[in-house]
Amino acid sequence: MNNINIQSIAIIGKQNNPLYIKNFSKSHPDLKFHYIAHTSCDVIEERAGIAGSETADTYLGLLYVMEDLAVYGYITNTKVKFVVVLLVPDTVIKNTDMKNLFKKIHNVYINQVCNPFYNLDGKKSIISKRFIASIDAIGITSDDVISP
Amino acid sequence: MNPIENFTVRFAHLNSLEQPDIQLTSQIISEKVKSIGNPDTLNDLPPISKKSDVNERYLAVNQDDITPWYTEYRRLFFTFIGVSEHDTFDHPVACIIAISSSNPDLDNTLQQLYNTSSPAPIFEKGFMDPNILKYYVLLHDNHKVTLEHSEAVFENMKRTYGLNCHLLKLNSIPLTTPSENNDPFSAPTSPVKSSNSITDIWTSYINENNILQNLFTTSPSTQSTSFENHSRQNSLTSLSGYSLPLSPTMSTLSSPTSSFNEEMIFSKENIGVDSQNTIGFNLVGNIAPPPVIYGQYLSEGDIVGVHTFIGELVRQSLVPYMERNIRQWNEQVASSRRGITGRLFSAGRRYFSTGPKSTTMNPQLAQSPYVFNTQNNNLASPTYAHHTPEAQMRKLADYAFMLRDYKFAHSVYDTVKKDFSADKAWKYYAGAQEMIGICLLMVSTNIGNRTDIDHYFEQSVNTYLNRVKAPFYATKTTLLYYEMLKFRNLYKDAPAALVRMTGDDFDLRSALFLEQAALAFLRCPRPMIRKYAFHMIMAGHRYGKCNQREHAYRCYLAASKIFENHSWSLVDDHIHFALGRQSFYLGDLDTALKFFLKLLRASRQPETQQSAYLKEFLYIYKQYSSKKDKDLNFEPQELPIPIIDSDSVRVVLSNFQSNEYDEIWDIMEKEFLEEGFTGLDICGKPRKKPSLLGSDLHRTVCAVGEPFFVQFNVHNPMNIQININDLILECEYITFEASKENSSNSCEETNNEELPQKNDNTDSADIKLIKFEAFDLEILPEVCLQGLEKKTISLRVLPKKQGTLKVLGLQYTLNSLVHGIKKFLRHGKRLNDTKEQRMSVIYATDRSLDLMVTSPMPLLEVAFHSFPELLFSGEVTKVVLEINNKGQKGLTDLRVKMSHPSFFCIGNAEMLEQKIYDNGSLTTEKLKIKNSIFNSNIKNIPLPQKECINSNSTSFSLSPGNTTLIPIWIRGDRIGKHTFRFLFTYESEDNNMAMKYRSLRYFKTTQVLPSLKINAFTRPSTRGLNEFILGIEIENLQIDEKFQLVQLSSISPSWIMSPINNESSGNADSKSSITPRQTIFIYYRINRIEKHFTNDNVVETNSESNDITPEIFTSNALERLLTGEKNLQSEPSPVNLTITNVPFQDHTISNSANPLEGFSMNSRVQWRSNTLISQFPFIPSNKYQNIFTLYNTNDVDLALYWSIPSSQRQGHHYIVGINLGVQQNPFQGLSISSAPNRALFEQTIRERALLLNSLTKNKNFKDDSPLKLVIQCVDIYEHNFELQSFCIIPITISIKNCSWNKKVGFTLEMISPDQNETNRSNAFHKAITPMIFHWMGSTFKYATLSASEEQTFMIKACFIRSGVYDINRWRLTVKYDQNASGGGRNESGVGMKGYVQMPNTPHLLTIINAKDSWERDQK
Repeated sequence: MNNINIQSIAIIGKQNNPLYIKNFSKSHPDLKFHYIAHTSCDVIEERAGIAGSETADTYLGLLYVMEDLAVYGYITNTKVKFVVVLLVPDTVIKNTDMKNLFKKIHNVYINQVCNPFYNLDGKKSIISKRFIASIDAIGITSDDVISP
Repeated sequence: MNPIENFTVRFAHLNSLEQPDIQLTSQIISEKVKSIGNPDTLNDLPPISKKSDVNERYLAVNQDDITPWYTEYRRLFFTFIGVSEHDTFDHPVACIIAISSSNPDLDNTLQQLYNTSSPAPIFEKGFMDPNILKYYVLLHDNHKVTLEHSEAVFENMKRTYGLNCHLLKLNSIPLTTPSENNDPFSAPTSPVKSSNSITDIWTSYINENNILQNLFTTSPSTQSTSFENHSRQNSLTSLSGYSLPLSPTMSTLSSPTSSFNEEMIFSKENIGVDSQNTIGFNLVGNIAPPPVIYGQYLSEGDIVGVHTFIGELVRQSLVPYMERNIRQWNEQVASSRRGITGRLFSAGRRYFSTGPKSTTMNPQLAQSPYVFNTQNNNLASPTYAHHTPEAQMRKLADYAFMLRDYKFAHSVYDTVKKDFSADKAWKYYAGAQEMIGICLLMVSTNIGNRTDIDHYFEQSVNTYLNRVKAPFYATKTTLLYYEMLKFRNLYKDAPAALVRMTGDDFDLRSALFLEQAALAFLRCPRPMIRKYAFHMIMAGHRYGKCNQREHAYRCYLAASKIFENHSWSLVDDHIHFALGRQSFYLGDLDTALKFFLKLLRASRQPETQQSAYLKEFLYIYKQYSSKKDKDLNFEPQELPIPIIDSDSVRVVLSNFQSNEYDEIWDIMEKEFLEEGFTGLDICGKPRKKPSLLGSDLHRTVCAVGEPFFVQFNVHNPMNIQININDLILECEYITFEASKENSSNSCEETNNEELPQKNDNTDSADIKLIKFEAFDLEILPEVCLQGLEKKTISLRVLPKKQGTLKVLGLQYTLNSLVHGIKKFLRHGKRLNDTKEQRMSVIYATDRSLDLMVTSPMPLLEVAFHSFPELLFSGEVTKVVLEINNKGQKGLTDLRVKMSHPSFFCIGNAEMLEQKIYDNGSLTTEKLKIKNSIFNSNIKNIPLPQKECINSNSTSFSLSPGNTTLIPIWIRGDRIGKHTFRFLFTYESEDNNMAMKYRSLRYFKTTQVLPSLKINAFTRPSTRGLNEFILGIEIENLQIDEKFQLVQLSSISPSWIMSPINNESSGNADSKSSITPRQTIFIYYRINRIEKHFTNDNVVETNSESNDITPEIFTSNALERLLTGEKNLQSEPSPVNLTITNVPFQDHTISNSANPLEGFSMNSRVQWRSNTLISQFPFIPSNKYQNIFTLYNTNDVDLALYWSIPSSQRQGHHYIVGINLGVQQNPFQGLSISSAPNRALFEQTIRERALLLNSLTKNKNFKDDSPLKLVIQCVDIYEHNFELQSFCIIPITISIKNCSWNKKVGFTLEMISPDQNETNRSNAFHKAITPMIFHWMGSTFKYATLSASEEQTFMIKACFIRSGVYDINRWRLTVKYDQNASGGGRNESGVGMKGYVQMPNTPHLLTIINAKDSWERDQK
């Protein structure tokens, strides 16, 4: 788990609209992760499409690598996509670690969806403080582990 | 060997083989790319915005046609590729030595032309084999020599040079007009005139070549120019210069595809049709400047001749030569290399003969097997001389490749690659890798392992880039690879390959490649539009960096289509910003503004970014406006900032009082409409009910000359401060007639709107108004909005003409620069009438901003002076109401509806100086009032009388500009904090049809503190029949105020009050002042007004005929209500009130004067309505005044006046609603059966039954026995029991039927104490030893009493001892008379029960033994 250095976490709605994109990196601008998240939709769609009708795994694995960034994807049953961008690590990242990370994000998202006042089909980004704090917690803990 | 189709050869001048300067070429390329705009094919295709846009139609278009600039780039790139040591594709295979047949010294010249001892400089580098196939061409031109001569010379040549010779006929003079002038420099008259069209075939190539040459002339290496001069000199004598003979090196990079051919377009031609072009080009290319254009007039035969020449060249010499070489090298080098010995040899050579590698640095040592290329400054990379085995192997492979033996080529490349790798000859190695990849792509029809191929290319590119530092060749490799992939339809692999070559070194190349990569994503089996968009943006970025603005703009625009409307706001902003910038640089300010406008919005951008956006926008706008300055009328734009909340836009009339409790006002207005227009107005005319107060057809109405305000909320969505200047409304005026016609059919509108014809700006009291014909508009100079700030702005409009005024929108200037406009878009309520309306969301048109301007109206302004903020409960003070008419017309019929009517009493202007508590002398006052429950909510406010022209109608009105003062008294009626609302309504003197009434809202708040707490109670007096004792308990609730009671008054139709004992006035002070926290009791007696007096009254009123008592009125009315009679319009008879004043001090306060009378009436009405609401919840309150009376006969109201001497406060309390009558249901109606049962609807029946039930079984009215009984006798009786043992005392019993309508039968039984002693539970009787006495005579009495009848009879009691006796011992059984003759008004009596009355207070009689007293007296 300690080789995971999260640069960004993105939650993308089912209409491929951004719900929440958080930049944890200090060197890259927000815009870059917006582009990465948007571009990953293509790859996610492709992957999810290939898996097809069968009960596909929600975890989609490494989507692509761009420069020093590795992009991982995850899709919920309701076609909400999670994209995590990592620094390309020196050691191999275990899929289970990534799966756990996505599970955590999924749980946070589920909590958000459970809010009866949250508009599921809305195109607005999520502004719930609790949600943001939880995502931050996921992003920052992994960052802290790596820093010492 | 298989026949080779489409074998192509390329011709080049031996001296132009060198690679041109890369910097120069890239400059040429970028110029060229810049000049190519969007192709037409792209315009036909829809922009790609979603996956489905990548349809077959799009895919059918060749990608080269979509991006012609890339095609051009590719073409030019391969044009300038030049010769390199590491591959032999650009090395000459053969050399054509051409000579004119007119040359006198043929042999020598030929010798000179190709002198092996002094070869072309290109050969000096050593990697190129100078020993190549030589082919001799004899040129025959008609204008020089005759054909015979040429043929003779050719025969001669053939003998010398064998097969590799050819005679080529050209024609440089027109056939039809033989040139008289043999001067080669004389221009042919007009070559274009020639009938033979073929003559002109190569001019385009010549032209292009010229352009390129001209571009090169700027280059410092002027080799070509000098060479040109040189050739020109020679051309005098012959066509042969030093190396003028065009030795077309040929590289036969043959490929089966036409598309691939095009890359090599520079002098690479088919053997067939086009070959003559090439030759022509090469022949004349370098000598284009001479005026004689050689070969300009070719005949058909000549062209066929050229064809044959090339055919022969390739077939007979070239290919056989190449095949020979392949065989030779294969046997000599390659096969040995493949064997074990070869490997050993190569290994041995590597280990043992390293000497030259490291030592020979000099390129002159051509003999040494290895040559180092010092020019490259790349010492690590060796260069192989052309005769080394490695170079030969490479050449072998290249030849094999050219002759399309790809498998063989592949194996050779593969072999030699290892050598290159071992020698660290990275350039060669990369080249070999590249060729392996190409071979693999060429050879396999079904490509299985693409990653393998990709790997070769990747390695090649990486080697070129990183080890050789030759990005040029890396680019070449990538281009080749990409084109191969395209050809094989393997678009999926293309982006990766292209993106590999998008380093920072060459922006244009990176941009082109990124764009190609983006397009390749679209042609994947599964189009990836987002990747496309992303790469397009990167491409746009790169284009922007290398100043290719148009391309940058196009890329960003294409990408923006993908992101559009997908709420990727950050990305959107970035694209829009880029687009705005690029279009600004391109000089398209309109478009630039359009994109920058999209940036001015709420976004997640940081503040600095937003302000940068705004700054740039303003800068561009400044440029834009300065450009457009010439024509003034450029349209103001709809700006995205600030946001104006259209829903918040509303019109505020000048008489409007804004406050937050709108609902309550609305309710009050509605109530006013309900209640206020029932009676008669001041002039006695019935009021007409307008549809809605102050509005007609739901349109806002305003009057000429009265300003109104348009209010709206402005919101700044951005995080930075913005200024809005010169805010002005945009209004439209339509004359009355036009708007009327408009309703029938759309008609021309008199549009006097905008066009700032600024007549003059009048600065009046800080408000700048701009005058127009029909209205004046306020202009607000500046509003500053902080980031995310919301502000409410209100702008004044002054209508000046009658008609319709539409508020359309707002005009303003953003940051004093950008002229903006905002339309107010409002919609009415949502329609829900028809099905379509329910299915979709349809709104009614909004008319709230569509004002109707009517003739001038009065305008009321009110102010309250000395309005108290604090009041004691019951305290009365005077308030002065100032009424001001600010309008243009007289104001009349001023009324006010109050939320707290019981608090106020409105006086007349004359009463301003009047004291509240007027001194009066009368202790009893008489008053005759209307006994109906009037609506106290709405009051008329008296206005000064106005002298009218027609004097017969008196009118009360307030003329414009006048002010009047009206006293209003306020009394703290209830404790608590109150907000008093006043809804003033008034109308114009002139009858204004559009706006009959106007209203004004006003409110005041006051807190009322508790002062006195008063309880009153009554009990029947024993002194007389129907007489009561009134007790009043007064508690001072204040902590530090001493109250002084002043007077107690009673108000009643039939009761008067008197003090119980007169001496109480003696110590009035002690009795009438209450210190804080104290309670006092005072008692009064209440009597009925004496009979004779009533009789007088009756006599008086008899003349007025049917004067009915309130009870009868109510009963009748209820009956009528029950039977469903609609006509309830009767009014109760007036009632005479008697007011009894009992002052505590000397002076009396007159109760009938106005403020007090008003207050008492108010509180009476208030109390009465409230009790009725609780008693008769089923009767609607608007029917009260037709059913119930204000006063019932037996009602008594009390008023207690007090003052606080210390603080000059005075006030009074009311005790309302003491009823001294017998409690009785006011409904004494018919039998239930007589109520009509027929009704149309069941519901009506049910309602009626409910009503009936509520009336007959009203829980609030428990009928009491109507009979009152009083026993009267002497209190103390002396009797000498010694004289007579029985003392018989007569006792008078009076029984009165207090009911107003009922005839009652009763049985009175006198009870002896012994009889029911045991029954008695009365504590009083237990305490006192019962003294037994006996009634004498008949103890039963039966009689009937009609209403109000009183009967008195005597009964005797017999006492046997002295003592104190309770003689109040009786039982009264009351029954309503069955066969009453009361006019059939009695109930059927079946369910009517009687009452049993028993005495509840003792009536004590003291019997004194007279003897004892006498004896006592004696003593």
